[in-house]
Amino acid sequence: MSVLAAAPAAHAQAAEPIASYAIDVTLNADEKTLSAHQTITYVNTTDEPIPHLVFHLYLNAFRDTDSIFLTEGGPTHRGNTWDPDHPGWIKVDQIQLTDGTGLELLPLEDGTIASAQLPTPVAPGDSIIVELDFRAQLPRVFARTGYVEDYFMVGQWFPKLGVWEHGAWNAHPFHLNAEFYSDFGNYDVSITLPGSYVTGATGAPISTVIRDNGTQTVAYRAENVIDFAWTASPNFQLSTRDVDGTEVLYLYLPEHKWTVQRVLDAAQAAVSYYSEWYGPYPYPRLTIVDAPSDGQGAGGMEYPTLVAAGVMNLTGLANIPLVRNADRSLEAVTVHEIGHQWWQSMVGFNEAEEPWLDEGLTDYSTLRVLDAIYGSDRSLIDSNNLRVGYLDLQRMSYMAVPRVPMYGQAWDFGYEYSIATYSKPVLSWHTLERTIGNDALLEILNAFFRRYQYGHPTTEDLRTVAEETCEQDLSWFFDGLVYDDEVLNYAVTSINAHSVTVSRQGELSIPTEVRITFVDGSSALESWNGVENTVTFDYTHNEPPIRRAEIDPERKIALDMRWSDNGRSRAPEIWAWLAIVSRILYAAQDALMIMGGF
Amino acid sequence: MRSTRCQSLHTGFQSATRYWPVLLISYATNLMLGVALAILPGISALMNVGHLTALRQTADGLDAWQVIDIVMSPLTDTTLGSIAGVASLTSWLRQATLIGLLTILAVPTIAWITQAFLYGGLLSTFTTLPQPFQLKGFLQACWHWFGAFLVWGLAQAAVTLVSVAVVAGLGTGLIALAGWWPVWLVVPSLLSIGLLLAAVFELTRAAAVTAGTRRIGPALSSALRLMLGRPLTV
Repeated sequence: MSVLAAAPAAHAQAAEPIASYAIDVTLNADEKTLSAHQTITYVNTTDEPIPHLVFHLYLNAFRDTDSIFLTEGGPTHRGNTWDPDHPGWIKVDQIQLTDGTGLELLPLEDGTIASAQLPTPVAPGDSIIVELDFRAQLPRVFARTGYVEDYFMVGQWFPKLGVWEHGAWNAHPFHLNAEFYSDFGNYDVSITLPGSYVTGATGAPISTVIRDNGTQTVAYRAENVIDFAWTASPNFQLSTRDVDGTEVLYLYLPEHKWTVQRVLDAAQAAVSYYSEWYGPYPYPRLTIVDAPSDGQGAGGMEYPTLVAAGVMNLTGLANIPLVRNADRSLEAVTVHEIGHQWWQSMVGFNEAEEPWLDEGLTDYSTLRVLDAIYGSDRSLIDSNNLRVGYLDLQRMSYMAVPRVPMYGQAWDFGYEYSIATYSKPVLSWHTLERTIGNDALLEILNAFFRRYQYGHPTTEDLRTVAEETCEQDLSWFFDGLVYDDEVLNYAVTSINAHSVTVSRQGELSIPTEVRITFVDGSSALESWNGVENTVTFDYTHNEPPIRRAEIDPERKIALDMRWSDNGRSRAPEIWAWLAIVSRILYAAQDALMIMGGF
Repeated sequence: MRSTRCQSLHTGFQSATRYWPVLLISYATNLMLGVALAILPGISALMNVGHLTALRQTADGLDAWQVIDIVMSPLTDTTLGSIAGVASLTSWLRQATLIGLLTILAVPTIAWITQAFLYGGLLSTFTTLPQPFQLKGFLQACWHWFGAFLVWGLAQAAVTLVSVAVVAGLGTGLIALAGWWPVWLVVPSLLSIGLLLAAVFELTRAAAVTAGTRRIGPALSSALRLMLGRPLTV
């Protein structure tokens, strides 16, 4: 037996630990099961006494098709299908207080939440220590957690307390579209598993004990986090990079060696930019985990200090070897999941009740990073003949289902969930940035992050900070987009020698500009608040005749549903038209030559 | 007399330069047909989107946002409705789609007919070397070979389509079984088959004109003998 010890550098900022977990877990790699002993130290930091405890038992969602999760999903999740021959579940065998008082854990709803009545309520300011023994069966991975052969991605695997707030437990059954919500605390987790396995986890390793019986126990510690996930495989290979004092560790599978450079480059950019824009990354390590090609359901997920990337395919090109270097799905997912370190892991949003907050801010942050690295016109696909920006993808998604508010509980949404929580927020934040200015927006987000790091803010908290920080009217953003489903299209509807009429379709109005270009080459930039349905700009006959007019000429308003009608010329754009016709002519001639030789 | 490769090449260049009117007729035909095919899409674009400043950005290539605007315009119209006085992208999209489909169908048909008509005259002219070019003789030859080459063109298309379909089908099955690596076999195979069949039929036409026969059997035999005896001709 040998012991390897490595103490991590402790430079995480202090947070008030509310729910801290110490877990000793053993993985049976053959049976794909877990058995564990867990100790929870919970501090009641509220003014209300707590009479009972409510736990999340997420793995029970994968037990059978009667669960809410599988019923809502059909049973699929992001294109991956649940395997009925390899379900998942969790069972608490024993729960007691440290003085030996046994508690009874009663399932609620569909078994993904359970409640235990306490003999004495936990008074404000007091703490309680609860011990549990539990077993779990990991499912074959399809919704973030589980196994594929000897690869394990273990998330939402232990009985996790809900959040006590406003005099009650905030803990919902596990819905298809819902993610997670829990308190900050410290985690000490010891994982016993076969000695040949390489592990990765939230936090950083403290020690590794290798036994003569072929097993090992790896201990991890994480401070000021809301969750703990881990991964293991005998096939993991490692690559690391130091980014501004943070160790970025990438655990990848041999068949995905081609991803190493790209993932680390993307991670480096993400950590650097996010730290600059929002606040420093306070943890010593960030772990990025690969997912097997036939287990991509494990990828695309965030946990505190650990993200699961995987070779996801946002465009349809990522899995084609000849063209996959042109596709940036890999970078987009990596940057996105790392963004959640700020908007979810450090600012602990309620992902179930207000999913647009963490997904929207994270995906908007993803857009910013990708555009900064690659350029806005090619940040998603970049090849000789095809360039697509990340914003383009989001616009297309949004246009498919634009009439959806961003605010809503996860289970309120059906197929429009991704529009409401990803696409529309990206466009909305981007429009806000282009409208009020990058500095003003960063000031809002910076203030919000500083105020609510290690907290649980809501949409109203965000609005309060935004309106305190920014002097401009933001009602169109919150009232029109967050809480409502207003849409917008600006168009130049008529143009004469000395007047231009612009119109607004839809209910949303965003201040914008109209650029009028005259025949002598001079131009005028008019402001329009967008409130009226139609506005006409008149010029005297002393002014040169108008050549063309463009509303929102720099295309700042990404929510504008049709940019093509934003500009009109009095005379046809003959030279541009000729250029296009000559391309059609060239293509026709080529086709005739190839097919007939003439 | 059996010519060397260099002599054959030299003769070919000599024919091409001597009979430059044939090249001019070929290019002029190609240009006029191209213009004819481009007219409808051009007019449609001018009528519907000619006044949009977005057209200026389209001139050097389509931006992704423009493609998205066009493709999503039917859904956008459903959300917003139309604006009075503003040409609808959706109706232009429908028009452009229809014109595009017609053009795609027309191109092979036009190519087939053009080739069938001009090829006989072209080949006949080259066989008269060193006689000067005569337009009347050229047109007579075009007409003389037109019917036969129309039929042979159809046959060539049919044989090529069937061959490509078979290889593509087998290749798809192989890729489904074995992953992506068979692409490196399938794509070159498809190209080779297409080129080989094109070469066979080109030589058949040349052999027919040289021998003065409109029967495909003897011409094809002659072409195959030439290919087997002198593979470089392929």
